[in-house]
Amino acid sequence: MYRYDEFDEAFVRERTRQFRNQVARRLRGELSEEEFRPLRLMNGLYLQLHAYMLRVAIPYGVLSARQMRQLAMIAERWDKGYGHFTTRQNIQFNWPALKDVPDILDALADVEMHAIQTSGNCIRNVTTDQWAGVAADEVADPRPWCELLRQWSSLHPEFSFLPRKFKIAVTGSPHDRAAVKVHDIGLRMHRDPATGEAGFEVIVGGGQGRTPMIGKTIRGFLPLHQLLPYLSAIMRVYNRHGRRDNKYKARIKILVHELGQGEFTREVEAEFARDPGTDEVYALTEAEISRIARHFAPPPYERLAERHPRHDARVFASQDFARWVRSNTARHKVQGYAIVNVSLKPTGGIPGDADAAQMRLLADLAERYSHGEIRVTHHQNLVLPDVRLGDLFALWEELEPAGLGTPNVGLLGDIIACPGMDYCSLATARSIPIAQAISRRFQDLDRQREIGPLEIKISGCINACGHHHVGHIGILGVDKQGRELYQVTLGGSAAEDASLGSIVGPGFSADAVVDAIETIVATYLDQRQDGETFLAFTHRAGLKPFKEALYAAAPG
Amino acid sequence: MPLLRGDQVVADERVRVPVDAPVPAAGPLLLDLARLTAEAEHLWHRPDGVGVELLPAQPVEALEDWLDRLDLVALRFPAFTDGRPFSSARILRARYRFGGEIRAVGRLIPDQAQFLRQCGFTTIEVDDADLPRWRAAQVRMSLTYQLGYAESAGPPALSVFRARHARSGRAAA
Amino acid sequence: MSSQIATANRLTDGEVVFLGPAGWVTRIERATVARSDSEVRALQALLRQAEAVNEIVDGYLVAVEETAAGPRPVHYRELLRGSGPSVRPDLGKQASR
Repeated sequence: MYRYDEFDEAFVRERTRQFRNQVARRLRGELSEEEFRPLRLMNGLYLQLHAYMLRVAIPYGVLSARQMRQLAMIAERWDKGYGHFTTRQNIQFNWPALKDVPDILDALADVEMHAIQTSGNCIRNVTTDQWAGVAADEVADPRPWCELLRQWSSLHPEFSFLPRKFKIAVTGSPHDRAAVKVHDIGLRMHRDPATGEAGFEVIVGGGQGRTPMIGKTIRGFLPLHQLLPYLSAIMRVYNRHGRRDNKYKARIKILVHELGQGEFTREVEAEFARDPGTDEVYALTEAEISRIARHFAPPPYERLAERHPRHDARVFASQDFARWVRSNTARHKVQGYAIVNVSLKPTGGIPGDADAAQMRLLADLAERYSHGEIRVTHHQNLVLPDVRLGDLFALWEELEPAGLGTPNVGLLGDIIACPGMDYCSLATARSIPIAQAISRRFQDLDRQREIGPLEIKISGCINACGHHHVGHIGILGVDKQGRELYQVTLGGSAAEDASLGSIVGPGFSADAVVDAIETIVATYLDQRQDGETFLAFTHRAGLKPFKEALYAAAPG
Repeated sequence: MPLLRGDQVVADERVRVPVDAPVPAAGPLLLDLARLTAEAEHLWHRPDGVGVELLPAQPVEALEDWLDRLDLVALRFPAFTDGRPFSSARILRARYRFGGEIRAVGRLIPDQAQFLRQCGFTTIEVDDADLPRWRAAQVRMSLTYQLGYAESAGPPALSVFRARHARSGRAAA
Repeated sequence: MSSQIATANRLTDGEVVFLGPAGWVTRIERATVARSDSEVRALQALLRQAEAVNEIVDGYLVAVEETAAGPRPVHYRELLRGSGPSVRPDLGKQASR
């Protein structure tokens, strides 16, 4: 993984000192809250329902064991012993005191971490495929480009006061695990079929929130070395012309929509033609990328057989282990290794939460079994990317008792939920209790396996941090006359077949929503064709069978 | 209002011309875009400088024909969170190679000083009462990851990419 | 009109606080209840003043009903703010109740 050199180190230390100065001025009253708010947000500090909340950047979701241990230390020393992994591959602490935040940032800087641009109207932490570098289907490794973007976007003089927040995601695989079509900019690495040269498909104007949209491709193939000037052109068009009169229309998706894909593309291309980057920019990009890429060289993999007899025997002998292997491990690009997905969704648990003991255990396990590296997924799970097949059983035996071995990755119990009104000051309803109730109702893992791939995503407000628009089943909590009400959408997807869910009908109370999910699942099981997934079924059958099952019994 | 030029406080000598008043015969001017457009032809013989102030929605491209004769472009921030003038300044410097003064006017906070300079602003209009606050807040970053955003006043931040490249060049040599 | 209390977060640590007779308190039970327009205006003035001296941030008024145990917010959001996350009864104000 990437390691700071003395420049990165000095940069983060300076930024931390700068923020310490800002906090001190705020505490002395030299900055008003109105002035401090954008400054603190630009450094990941929110004021939430119960307390401040600090969102720590985990660049493109990659963490070392040492960093994970430091997060555990921070959770215990300055917070309440746990952290919450987010749908942006970051972690947030829910209870820090403002006066302690500079010390927390120092502790983060000690392990090459920061909270730069995890909020605010600036370019946010870049996200990617949690299996980057190890996925069997990968075309090119997106991580060096993510790191380049991390650096390029950090304290950008021109693009730090944008109309609204700005999220960039990169994928290097045809199967999109980074949801690039629902980002402000999505970059899909692929190869020119004629020349074999690698480049980017540039997708702009996707997003969720109040006005969900699927991104539009404005450039089918962008040569790698042109990435920074081309992104600068997009950012400049957005910074100048994005709407600033209405916060709800300020995202780039609205600009793309209002100008139209064609006109927006012309504007960007014209800007790019005027400022296409200099030879120096190209040369430095190339030099930087090869420097950064060395940090992502494959670890020293052993030459292993495709199968491991003892592993096979254990799969045969233990049904529980077999179930976990089936759901929570994925094919690795190197023979004899597996990608292990660690579920942070125990039955009835809070999606994405991990306590300090779990963090330390994961750090230990990563060192013992996975070259010391951990990934965070936008599904709020963790990944140990490089585990030998022969180690899977021992690893599982340690994960299981710690509540980290629930075999539900990709299944119904693997629910995404934003913090909702239990923590968030923007929320209109709670999300976590709904996730907990659904996960308890469907706790039978064989039943989950029988149902097959099914992503439930829950947001506690229209901002859609819980990605409900792109859930196979999406649940949105709203406030209806002082009561929590949950709207259900069906048929969304964040993958390469990205689509937005459709509202199935009138919403449900908190008490009724679990039954509604039960009815939806039963309808699917009843009517699906052989091998048809839930998503495929909803796309084929539409809302009708679900509407009938959900609402037919109701009078009127 | 005084101006901050780097760490120096300098007086504003520009004459702002009210809408219906005639342009004074002498003295450096600061006009709005409408006035500049209307009277451009009568201005260029003046010995003193001519400047224009743009609102964020007024594109700097509108100045294209006059930039070689203007010695000041002031860019107004209606709110400190309105980042459009950062791009305007950057375009003036990088695309048009404008060499005159670029002045930030309006609502700004001290923490933006370095970004302003990196985008090409040379002066910042600051309220008298606010000057101590601006001085106290200057915690500069000595490093920058971007290229082409050299600071227009004071010691420039070191370009990380260039510094690395120079070092690896030395290592190779 | 409904009864109101004033709430905010404390600047230094973010703790949810309520305006009581002798200053800002962490327990909603001790909040001063305003029952008339003039009492509400007085609360509001104290709120703005506390913001101006940077004691608190993001202050606002909350509608409450008065119970034997003290003021109780009408809206569930404010109930959560006064107690803590419903999914973690071990955390927040509810933990030490």
